[in-house]
Amino acid sequence: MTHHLTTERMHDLLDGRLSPDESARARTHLARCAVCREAYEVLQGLVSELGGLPREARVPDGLWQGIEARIGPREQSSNTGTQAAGGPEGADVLSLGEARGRRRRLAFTVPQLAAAALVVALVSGGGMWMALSRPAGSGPSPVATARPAGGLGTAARMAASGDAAYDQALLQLQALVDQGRSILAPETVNTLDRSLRTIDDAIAQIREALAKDPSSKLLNRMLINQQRTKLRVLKQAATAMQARS
Amino acid sequence: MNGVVIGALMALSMAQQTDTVFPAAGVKSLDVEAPGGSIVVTGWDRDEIRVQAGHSHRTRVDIRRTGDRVSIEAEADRGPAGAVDFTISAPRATSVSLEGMYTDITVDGLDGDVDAETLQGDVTVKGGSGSVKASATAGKILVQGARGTIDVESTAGGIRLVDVGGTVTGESVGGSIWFENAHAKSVDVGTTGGTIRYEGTLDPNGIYSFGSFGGSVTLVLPEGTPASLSLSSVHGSAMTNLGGEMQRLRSGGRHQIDVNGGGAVVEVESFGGRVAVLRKGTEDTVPGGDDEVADSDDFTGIVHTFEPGDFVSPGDLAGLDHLAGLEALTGLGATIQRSVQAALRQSGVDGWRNVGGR
Repeated sequence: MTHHLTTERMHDLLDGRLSPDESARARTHLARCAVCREAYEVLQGLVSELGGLPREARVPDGLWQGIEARIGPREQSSNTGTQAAGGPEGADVLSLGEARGRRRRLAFTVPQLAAAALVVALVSGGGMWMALSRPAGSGPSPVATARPAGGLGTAARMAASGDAAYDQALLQLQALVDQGRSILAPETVNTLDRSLRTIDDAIAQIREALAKDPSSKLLNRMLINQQRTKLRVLKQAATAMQARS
Repeated sequence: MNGVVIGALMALSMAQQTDTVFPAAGVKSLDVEAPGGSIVVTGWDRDEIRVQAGHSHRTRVDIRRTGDRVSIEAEADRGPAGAVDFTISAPRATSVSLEGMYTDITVDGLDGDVDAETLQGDVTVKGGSGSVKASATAGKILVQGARGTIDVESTAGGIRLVDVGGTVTGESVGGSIWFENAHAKSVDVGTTGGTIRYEGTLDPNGIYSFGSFGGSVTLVLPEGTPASLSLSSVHGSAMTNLGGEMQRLRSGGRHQIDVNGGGAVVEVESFGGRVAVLRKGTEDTVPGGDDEVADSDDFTGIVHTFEPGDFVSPGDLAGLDHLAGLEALTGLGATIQRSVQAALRQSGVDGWRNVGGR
């Protein structure tokens, strides 16, 4: 097994800046190394999501500050890609327009990208909230909603690693969805509730297992996947409510 | 009698009929929105588009063309539009974006990209060589014969993929994900409460990832398939006989096994269910092999949250024979209890003891 790919190497691969030989070697390594492959996929997804951002997006008053505070302090860039993928969160919050403009010149850390993508998710949730809140016939929402091009998967997958920040952000999105429950048919709401309970039970069981084996990569990945799934379901509910409102 | 009355009322409520044909020259994509009812789009060999729609008198169908895009929507002058049953024929190369709330969606015989999304309803896509995206919050998804980039999501329903190739990504919370006669070049699928079964072939250079939280994951592959397996189950068992003799692996760890010289990269994992990579033809003879719950230690392999009409594997309910009745619920996690109870209730089974006595 060759050495793991660095974040910089992954960025170069993503940007097509490697020679054909280097690119082939990197891809061969990715095909064989699950750890690097996972980190690369996360990076690939997040960069793709950032690519879908508008240059300007305004979040509802107060929401941004709350998210920014929860995501945490700025973290210096690391060149260890695999550590970035599984390492502690403490992410830089990027200006959305800035992130898009700079993404080809800077090698963002995965947590940095995750933070930006999480904001995208919540901006979208904020857009839904504004849509639900505004009086009927009052025209379009003033909030520019940004939808990630590739869904929320990779964003949440990484963002989920910062449990406390993610939980708080998730609660906020959950509250937004709760406000719009009456918009959907009871049967649909029941289905969503049942699904969310299933996910919450899974998260609880994984956390219980993690308490006994905190370093388990398998359990950590499962936790992140379930949190990602929960975010997707909430986002799906929010989108449906927005369409019905 | 009631059925006759209801049928007559439904006929009256759908008394209006839209039926129009217009040239398809220059049309690349078709957008259809229906708040309820159904959308059926079929590819044909004529260079025109036909739109048939059954709807109530207060709902009308709005068809607009902007450049190379045609949008078709249900509209109403006052209040929200009612349900519409769309039947649309379009040239095979047309790309479609179909969106519904309480709507069943069917696409058949199109080669263009397909994007179908509904909140409560089933999605069926037959054929397709481009991008196929299908999403149902509370409904089943069937994709058959698609070859391109397939992306399927169902929150509460099952996902069934028949004779599919290309790249497949998929996710469900409560439903199972089943592949039949698949020949995908890469797969990345996961479910929280359902099972996963992949029966088909692997590309030697492909990358495959299958994950279930509470259900079993079973791959049934042709003899001699070269693969680099990574099998993990936190609480369930892991096994493979793809390379010859059956290897039973301990739970809790990740097992890396190269079989037949190594090849396709295959990751299979579950928290509570059994993971198995089996040689085709042995799945019915291996104890605990094909979606069967082998023993009480592997009880979580039966965890599902079925929806009525969900895809239920032959072993799903048979596996319950291993549990001795209601008492068996004691000590199981809340997810498992709820899931099993839901499976029983929705399968019309009258209580635990009846199942245990099967």
